[in-house]
Amino acid sequence: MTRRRVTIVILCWNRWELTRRCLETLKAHTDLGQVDVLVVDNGSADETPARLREIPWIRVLTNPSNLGYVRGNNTGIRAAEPGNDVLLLNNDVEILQPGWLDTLGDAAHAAPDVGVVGCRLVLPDGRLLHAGTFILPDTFWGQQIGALEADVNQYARTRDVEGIVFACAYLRRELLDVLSGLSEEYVSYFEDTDFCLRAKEKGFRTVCCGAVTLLHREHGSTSDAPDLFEKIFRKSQATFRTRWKSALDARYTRSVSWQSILNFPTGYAMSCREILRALDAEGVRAAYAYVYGPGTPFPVREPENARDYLLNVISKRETGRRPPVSVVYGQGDVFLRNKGRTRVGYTMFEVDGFPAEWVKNGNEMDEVWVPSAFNRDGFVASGLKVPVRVMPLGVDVDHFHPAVKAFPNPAGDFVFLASFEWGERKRADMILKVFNQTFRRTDPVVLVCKVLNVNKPTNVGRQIEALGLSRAGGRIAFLHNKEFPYHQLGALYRSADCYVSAGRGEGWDMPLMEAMACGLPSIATDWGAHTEFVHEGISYPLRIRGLLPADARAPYYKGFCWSDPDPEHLQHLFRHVAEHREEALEKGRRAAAEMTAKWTWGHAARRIAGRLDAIG
Amino acid sequence: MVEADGGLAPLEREVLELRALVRELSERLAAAVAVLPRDAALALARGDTAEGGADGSPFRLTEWHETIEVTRADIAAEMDLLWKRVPPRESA
Repeated sequence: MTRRRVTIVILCWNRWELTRRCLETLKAHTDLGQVDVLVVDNGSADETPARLREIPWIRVLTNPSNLGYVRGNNTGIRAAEPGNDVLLLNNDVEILQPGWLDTLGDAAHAAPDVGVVGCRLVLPDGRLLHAGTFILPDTFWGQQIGALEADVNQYARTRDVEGIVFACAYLRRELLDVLSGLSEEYVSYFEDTDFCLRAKEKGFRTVCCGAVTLLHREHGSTSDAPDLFEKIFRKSQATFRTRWKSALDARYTRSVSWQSILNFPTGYAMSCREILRALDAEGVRAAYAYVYGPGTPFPVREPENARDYLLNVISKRETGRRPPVSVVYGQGDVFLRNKGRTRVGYTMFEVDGFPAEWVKNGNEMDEVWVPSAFNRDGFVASGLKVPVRVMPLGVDVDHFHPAVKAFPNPAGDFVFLASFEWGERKRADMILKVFNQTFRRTDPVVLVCKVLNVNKPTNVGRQIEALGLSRAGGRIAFLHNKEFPYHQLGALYRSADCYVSAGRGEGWDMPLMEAMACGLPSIATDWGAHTEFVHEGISYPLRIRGLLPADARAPYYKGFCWSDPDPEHLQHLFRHVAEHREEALEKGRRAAAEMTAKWTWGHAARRIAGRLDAIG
Repeated sequence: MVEADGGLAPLEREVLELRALVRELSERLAAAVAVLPRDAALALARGDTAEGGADGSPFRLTEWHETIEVTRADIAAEMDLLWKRVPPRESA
């Protein structure tokens, strides 16, 4: 492919040290034969003009005074060769990787409708700063995706985004021919989002290319003058609001009241957070309300702060006293708190039927959703009469993918990973015993167990020691009651070689899905809701010996059955995976591809949006 | 439980002193182990003593802290600690 020539426009105003670093790293990682480097000096009064004159491989354009960010960059865009693409680069950005410009160019020319390409930006302390932007019509306060998460190479793919920050913005010539430059209605701030939205109006997409990461020192020219920043920011925000309010409102084509749980470390809460994010991206205006609290089986008040801007905004939206459609996403024992005119109950369960109370409440709904055919069949068999629809959950493939940073075992051992809450259902005892008996201490194989126990009377350490494991057997290490930030969890999976989920029954099994999205082969019980997305082509199904009464503390299990995973088959699978690593790797690769192709939260949200259209 | 007005400061000082001591002992231990032959270092790490070898002896949890409090952890630091906790592999 003939590569189109690029003009790199670097705007600077004083702070020579930043500009120097920017230019040095640019030179080190860029084929200067492919590019024109145009430095626009916005009237610097320090040593910048003199230093720039000493650099032979750049062209310098000097503005007589500081024209501001927008007009300064427009000077550069206008001065670029007419046939060139343009890359706007802040002078407080440093290039970290060779090939960065080619990769951005490839992303820009991957399709004719791509107009703007941004990249991942990281801070000097290693945290992610930017992987795209979004702005909500509720607040008109632009947000950077992924901001301040520890960088584990999340958002590594190229994705469509609403906007990007123009600290690094690759602009296709076809788009510049239509829009010419940044809107000079703004002095600074909002001009980048405005540009991306105008590009969209003209039929051009904005993407964030996750294969490129640059360092952004974020030394904005107004960062030392907070009053000036506030003034410019507010003025630009008002301009932006006037221009874009109706367009941003129109982005939402449907609405729904979502009654659930958000700010606790439970499976429903974690998946609720992802569903709400995905629904917003799908154009569904969700308003969240906490469904539990006093008078419910979980009488605890919910903390208000979701520690997430989008979720906090969604939580503050009014659901209204009687919304047209409301979904209760939680256990069936709170279905009756649904306040919608059309009422949906969305739940899941780990055994082969549903408690009578849930069925009774479900029959009061207009329809019931479950994530799996396994649950649909269990609900119907338990007496549910209203329509029941399979609405699978999903996985976040931006935080769980094969290129997430790993922290591999330095000894080079093959690592099996199991993650579970201590209890009867997950069969921790079987996993530990079988692993310990299958391998010897001399084998280069380790089992890592991430164990959660919040049940005060249970002493997990004592129970493990009571299993009678042998020191001569397979080696086991534990992560006990450690909670990792969700965005870092992928690094745990990536640090292992095979995931093990050998429980008696699952309502979905999010950790299994996350591990598979990370490209891990998995051993998973061949019974339960997760059979919706697990099959032999992408996993190692663990045989069951049959069903047993679900004997556990949970009162809702009474009268139902769950599976009896076969320990002998688990032993065989442990050994097989450890001895057939290439085959296992291939299964893991196929698992990751299938999660991305079929099981993202975007897929889940599109199914929900489609159903809302049908019932709304 | 210590009342706030019952003199927390001396306890806090003691905690700081003990932490410094633990750090110092860890550094001394690491330095001592570093000069040992590999087999001897492994045996020490396993806890093998004159009373017997590893084979057939019961599995013991090392560095296990029984708690129901869930700790928020950083993955990089925690993985580093985890790999140090893995019982060492023995030669066949």
